[in-house]
Amino acid sequence: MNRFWGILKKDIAIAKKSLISPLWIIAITYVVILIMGIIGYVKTGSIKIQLNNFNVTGMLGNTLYFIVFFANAVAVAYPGLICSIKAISLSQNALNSDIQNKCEIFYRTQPISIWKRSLSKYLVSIFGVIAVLFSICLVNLIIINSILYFIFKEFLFLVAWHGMMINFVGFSLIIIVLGSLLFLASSIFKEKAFGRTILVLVLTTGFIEILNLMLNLNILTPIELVRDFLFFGITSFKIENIENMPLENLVQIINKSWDIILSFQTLIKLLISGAIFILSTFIYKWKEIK
Amino acid sequence: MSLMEIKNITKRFGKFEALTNVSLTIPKGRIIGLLGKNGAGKSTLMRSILGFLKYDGEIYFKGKLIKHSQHDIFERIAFIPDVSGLDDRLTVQQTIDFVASINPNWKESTAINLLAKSKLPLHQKVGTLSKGMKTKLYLLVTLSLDVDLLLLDEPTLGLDITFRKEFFNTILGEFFDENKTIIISTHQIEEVEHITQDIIFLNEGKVILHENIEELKNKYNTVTVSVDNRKALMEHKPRLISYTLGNISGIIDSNVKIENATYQRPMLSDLFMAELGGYDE
Repeated sequence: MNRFWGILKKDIAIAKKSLISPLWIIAITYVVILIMGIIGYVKTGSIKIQLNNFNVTGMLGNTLYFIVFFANAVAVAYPGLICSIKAISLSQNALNSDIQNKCEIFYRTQPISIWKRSLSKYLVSIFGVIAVLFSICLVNLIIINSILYFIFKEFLFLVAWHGMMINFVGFSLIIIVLGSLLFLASSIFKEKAFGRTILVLVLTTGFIEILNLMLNLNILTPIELVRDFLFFGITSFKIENIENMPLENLVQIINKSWDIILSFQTLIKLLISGAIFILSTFIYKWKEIK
Repeated sequence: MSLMEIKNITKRFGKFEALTNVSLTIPKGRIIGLLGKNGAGKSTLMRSILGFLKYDGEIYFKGKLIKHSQHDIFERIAFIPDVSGLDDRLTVQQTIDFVASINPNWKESTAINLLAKSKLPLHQKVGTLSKGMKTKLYLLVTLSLDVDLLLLDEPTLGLDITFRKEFFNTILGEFFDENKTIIISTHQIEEVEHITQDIIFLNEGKVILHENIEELKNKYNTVTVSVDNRKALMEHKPRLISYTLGNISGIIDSNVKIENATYQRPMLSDLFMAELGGYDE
């Protein structure tokens, strides 16, 4: 365990700057919003005038629950997207960055198994990003609900928590799936793994599409396979006119969302991601160091 | 018991045969020079020993078969490659901490001693260090390990003469004893001549000589005669001939005596050239 901690510490030290970059992006976004708010305040003279535009009194019924829920859910989308991009960028270099930095031999001549080295890189490039996303989500939760409390004088923590957590877990799954696929790519390609993976996917998809057309076949293309893997088990449901909805509908939305996220299909995705990690490590281990 | 047994190693890269049926016995407590021209197969042999390559044949270390990508051998074998291969993204301190944390045979006292001598800037990134300082750091983290075998693959390539001397002095002073073996792969023969005890000559992937240096040097003499006396030298079929102002030199068996000749112990580089070139006229 101590040895694994040593590898993990080293990998965190290497990826530290990259891992905390989403925090900076979000912080800069907040600063920009704050500056815009200040400019608005200076121009209009009072921030209360802006708040008066909301029909606050009419919303203090069930609708407020929906607003709190969706505000917290939507607030995860921006950091979720940034963290997904970060996970792609980190995992596409996970297993090949030591080769790129010409230090592969240094690490290969240490008495640590390739499996432990690989696991450490997998954890940092995927779960490291998820940890960063979670910390951003917590900060968002505090900020958004403070603002909502300031406007509506109501603090609906449990609804806010569900709103945040549903999207956080959803994005975490996307990060695990995409990160695992790019982790595999990093074991195959020495550099530019993302670009080369896209190129391979596009070329093979094009080739299969032509085959399907010419021979009247119905073979699944690699892009369709990736899409199915990513969105497997996810179903959409329509939400209309939240203003007049009973509170039970929100409970239903929350339950339905959790049912989709914590489903058997999700378990399959996690298992496939695990299998991709094992395959990636095998490929990495199998290669010769010349 | 020998430290390492290499049995019939053959390594091919496509159609190119980098090593051909190499067999060697590496004893304990020796400093061995692995010599050969560029492309002779020195690095391929080293990488095979380290388990980086797949090959035909068998390598046994302390009686145990070494397999491809076998990490536990590095508890007993250390390696310094031909280019400074440390991770530029880590600081000096992080590099030392990393190696210390994953090696059960880490000797803290040696590390402290070497660190004090090295004047390495602990908080500086490895990538910002000079090549000499990087080599010092590599030496520090490698020599602080209590291992049985140290493999050096052209370790002083690109270093100036001061660093090169310091490098070998540090290895002899801090690492070597009668229980440890060092294999130094190089094509700069003169650099290791004074420290190596045994010699392995590789040429075109084949072992052409594996011998104790003293015994090898005792077998031959470098004999110099005047150009007028050339015939007397040539009668003994010297193995390597070189001309200097008015004189001709050649390597011949040590029991051969020529009148009016001067005798010297042969240089390792001359013996190497002789092994490669044979009779040269």
